[in-house]
Amino acid sequence: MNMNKVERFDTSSIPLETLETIRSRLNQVHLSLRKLFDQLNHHNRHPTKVRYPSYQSLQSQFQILLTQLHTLTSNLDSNDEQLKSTNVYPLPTFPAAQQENLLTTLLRKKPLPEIDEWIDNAILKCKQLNESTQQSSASLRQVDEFAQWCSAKVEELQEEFHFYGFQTAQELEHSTTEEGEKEKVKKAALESKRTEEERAITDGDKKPLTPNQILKFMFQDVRP
Amino acid sequence: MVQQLSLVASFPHSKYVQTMSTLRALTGIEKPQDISTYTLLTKPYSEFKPKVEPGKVNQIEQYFMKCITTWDDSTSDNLDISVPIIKSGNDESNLWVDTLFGDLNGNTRRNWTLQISDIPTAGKNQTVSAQTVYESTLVHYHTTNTKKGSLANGEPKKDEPVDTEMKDADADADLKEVREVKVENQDESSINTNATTDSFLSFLHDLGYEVKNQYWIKGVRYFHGDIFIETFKVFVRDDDFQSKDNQIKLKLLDSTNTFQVKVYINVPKATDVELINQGSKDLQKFQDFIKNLISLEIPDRMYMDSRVLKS
Repeated sequence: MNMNKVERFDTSSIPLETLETIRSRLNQVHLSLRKLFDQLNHHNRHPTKVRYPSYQSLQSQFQILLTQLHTLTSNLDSNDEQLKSTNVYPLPTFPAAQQENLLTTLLRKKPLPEIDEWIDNAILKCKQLNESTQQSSASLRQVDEFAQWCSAKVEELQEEFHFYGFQTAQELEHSTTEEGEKEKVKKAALESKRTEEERAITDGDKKPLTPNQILKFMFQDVRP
Repeated sequence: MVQQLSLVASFPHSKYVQTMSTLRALTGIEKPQDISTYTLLTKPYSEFKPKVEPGKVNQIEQYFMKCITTWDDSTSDNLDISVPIIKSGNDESNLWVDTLFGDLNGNTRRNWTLQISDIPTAGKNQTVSAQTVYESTLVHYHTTNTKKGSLANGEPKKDEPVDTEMKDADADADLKEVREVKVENQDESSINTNATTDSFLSFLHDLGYEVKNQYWIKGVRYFHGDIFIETFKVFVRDDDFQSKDNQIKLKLLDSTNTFQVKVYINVPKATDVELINQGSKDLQKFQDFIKNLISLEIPDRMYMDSRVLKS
């Protein structure tokens, strides 16, 4: 009898495919949230035994959640019209009297009041954030413009100069004068004196002994 | 006994100031410890040749022994290693050190550290050199004769013959190297022939060791955690000069004024694997840290083998 009733019911108008994809997405989100919740709860219950999940693992889990939520919203969005025009009602065979609680939950279309509050809060915060960034973006643009102007100016100035070697034109000019020549000689003398000293210290640029040779002398009396 | 983990390096004299200030900054030690030691390198004079028989312990070794004491005369005090030692024609450098037993005005006590070291451990993928070192420090009183004690104390020259006894004992030893004994005092030895003597050299002789060489080490020591960082120069006797006034002339072993660096950690037990691993890691870290200044390397174990080769 009951069976007949169900058979009479036309199921072709139910958007099965759409609902099925949404269901599987929801299931994924549910699993992810469950896992995260369990991890946090586990730590709260045994703070000494179980470690808090690491920053990296939390981060990656949030990342996964975000992607899942994103696909879910896009799914909902693409099936917008069909879902809006769909009405849900229990079949006559549903034990409405026994499962009243479940039924009201399933049939509810509007969010709970506290969820409404969350949503309002989030929207408000988004607005504030947008306003503040708008203000700073104006100044940011100014800064960018200034930086561009600076680099352009530097390039412009650079074109007016030519760079060769490491001496200024004044230094080069000075080196060609008599005094400059003398200085050159003096510098060369200083340089040669320095190398001379270095030679004396290293006993005429002899090759230094390796640590191993020294060790051989210290351990085995073998003169290097 | 300690297990010594070490790395070595060398750097030219021109990098001395830079290296010292880096080490000072790194270790936070403003005034490093001075190293100033005198070492006698000794070797058993008669070879021990056991008959090789199957079923018996055949690896019986003879080792070189280092006898180390402090080098604490005025030359050592005045020697500044930051000043390069340059050989010049008319040698004016005052690298004349007191002979060990030359001037004994009341200072007859010396602490000698006798050191025998095994060949460093072999193995692939070694990060540091690991060597077992055995040390024993003893206090030695250099007494001369008892009969003429008062006389001898007054005149240092009288102490010389003490060492000539050793010379008599092993006549053809390398006495060119060890000039504690001076030729001109030989005629005086007759005075002391029946004196009771206790010279360190004759002690070594009684032990079966002969002095092969001697060297002086001067340098500084820094500490960084458990790591000893030693920077030093090695001096040997300059054979071009005759000894005079109880003093002998020194020269650098490495005439290029190059500094030697040795960084090491002493682990009390060779079996303490954990500490040894930790020490090697520390040394490696230090090696990596300082690699742009001095490149520390693992010394070749063959060069640190102090066993006497059997001919």
